[in-house]
Amino acid sequence: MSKYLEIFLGILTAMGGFVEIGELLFTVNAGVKFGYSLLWMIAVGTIGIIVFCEMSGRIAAVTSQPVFYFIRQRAGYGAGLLTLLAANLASLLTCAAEIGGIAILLKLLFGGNYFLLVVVTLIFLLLTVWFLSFQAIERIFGLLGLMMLVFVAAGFWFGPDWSQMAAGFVPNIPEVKTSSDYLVYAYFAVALLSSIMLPYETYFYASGAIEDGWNPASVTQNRLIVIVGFSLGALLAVGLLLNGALYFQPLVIEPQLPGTAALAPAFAFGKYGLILAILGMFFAFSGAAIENSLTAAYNLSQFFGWSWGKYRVPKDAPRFHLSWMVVFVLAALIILTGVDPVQVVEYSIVFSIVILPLTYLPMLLAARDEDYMGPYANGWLAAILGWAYFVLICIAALAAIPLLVITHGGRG
Amino acid sequence: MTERTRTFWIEVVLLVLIVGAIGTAIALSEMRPLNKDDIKMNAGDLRSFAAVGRRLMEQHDGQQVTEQFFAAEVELLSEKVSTTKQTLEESSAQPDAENDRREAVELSTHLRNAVDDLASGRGDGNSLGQVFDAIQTRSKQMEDRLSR
Repeated sequence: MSKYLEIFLGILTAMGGFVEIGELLFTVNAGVKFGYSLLWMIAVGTIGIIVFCEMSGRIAAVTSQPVFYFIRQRAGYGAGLLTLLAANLASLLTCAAEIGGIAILLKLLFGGNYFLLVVVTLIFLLLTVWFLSFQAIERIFGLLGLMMLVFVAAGFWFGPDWSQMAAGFVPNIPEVKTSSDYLVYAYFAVALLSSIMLPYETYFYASGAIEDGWNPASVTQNRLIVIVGFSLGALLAVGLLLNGALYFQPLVIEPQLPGTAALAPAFAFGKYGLILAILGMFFAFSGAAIENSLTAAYNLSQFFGWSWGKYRVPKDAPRFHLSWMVVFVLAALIILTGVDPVQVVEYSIVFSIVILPLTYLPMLLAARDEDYMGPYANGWLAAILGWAYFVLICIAALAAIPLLVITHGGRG
Repeated sequence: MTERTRTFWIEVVLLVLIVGAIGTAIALSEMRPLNKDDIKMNAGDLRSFAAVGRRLMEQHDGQQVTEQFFAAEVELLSEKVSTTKQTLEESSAQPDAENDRREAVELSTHLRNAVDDLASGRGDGNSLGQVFDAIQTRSKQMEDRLSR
């Protein structure tokens, strides 16, 4: 495949894989509650994920070592093990939420018993990862996830106020009814940041770079994919927020189900809009479920030094392959207890931000180390952005759980 | 015990304590009687569910959604309303919030009936739409009153 086509597909895949169930619901509800006011947080989160994914991809391309190798090496065994447990718990919860979301979408498309559809989803995901190659999984789910662009089209179809929208990209504190609403605003700001900078994305991206056989010559490709792909992905998030602000806010609806979110494109484009939205979500959530199960298996294998890689047959990497299967099964079991997937999303997102500093610090230290990285070590821009974001995520990590409790999960 | 092992176990114990404390705080908050804030949140849910019901009805009438989508989404909405109703019915409330709890239970019962009517196709669109609007308005008023 030509290099340009590979970069083009990489960009589209990064874009299509940008949104998962947590980001979808948090972003739409951020629009419902605060109109355009939180658009700036999408920009902040997107730059953050670009900075850290670029770094993790560059480290992987130059050293052929994934993120968890550096976490264990830089943070030590104890802190590394805690990060591993926390990261895999977050991935398990996220995977569970995605499986619940997929089952709901299947119900909206075909009907049937929800719990039976959870089992169908589990089988579908197991078979998909078993039979498809890493590249095929990445491309199929990333590219078909682009059907979610119908939310962007709907967002612009509703006719946003361009000047207010531009103002929303500048950090601001909106006028609110009560003082407790300021805390809800802070909660949504933190949750949006976390949902965009979910740590599994960095682990998966770096492991994927190694699966794809990247080398130092891939550094430019890496940079292009994260900058262009994630920036376009942010357009999806902006579209979702516009749906919240322009369609749901006047109707005083706070969507708690993926199907409710699909009412906006259905209003704009009728049944075709609805079907595109549901199929787009189906592929985006499925992609995220697969990424989370593989991420948990990558993390375990990389931390304990097991043989790993989707390109390896199960015989050559048995513990790796067993791990992603176990994660899928555990995630499905969580949903089969009857827990609301949306509630699981909430906890997984808030929990994820708590572990972000533990993930990003070792990466930041490795990326600036010239002994490892040689001429590819962090330049001044990556260093400034990296440390600035590290401080930001530390503050967000400290604030996340108190805000979750005080605001009752953003409900006021 | 080496320094490294001791540090590791201290970290593990700290993590378990933090997770345990958060878990206990969440469990305790679930078990305590409902206060005005809790009822305000439930009223907010009912307001949103009523608005979804109204919107689903309109978009179904306007043929903007498929029959399958409509049936499944109404079923999921009904489950959400039932969960809220059950929470309000089965929880006790603080003395100063008891009247509000009863009012919220009444609203949730009306909403549950309206969603059932929507699912079964009973009642004409206009009157059902008015029922959803009325529940939405009352829930909003309740929410605003409890916000003060």
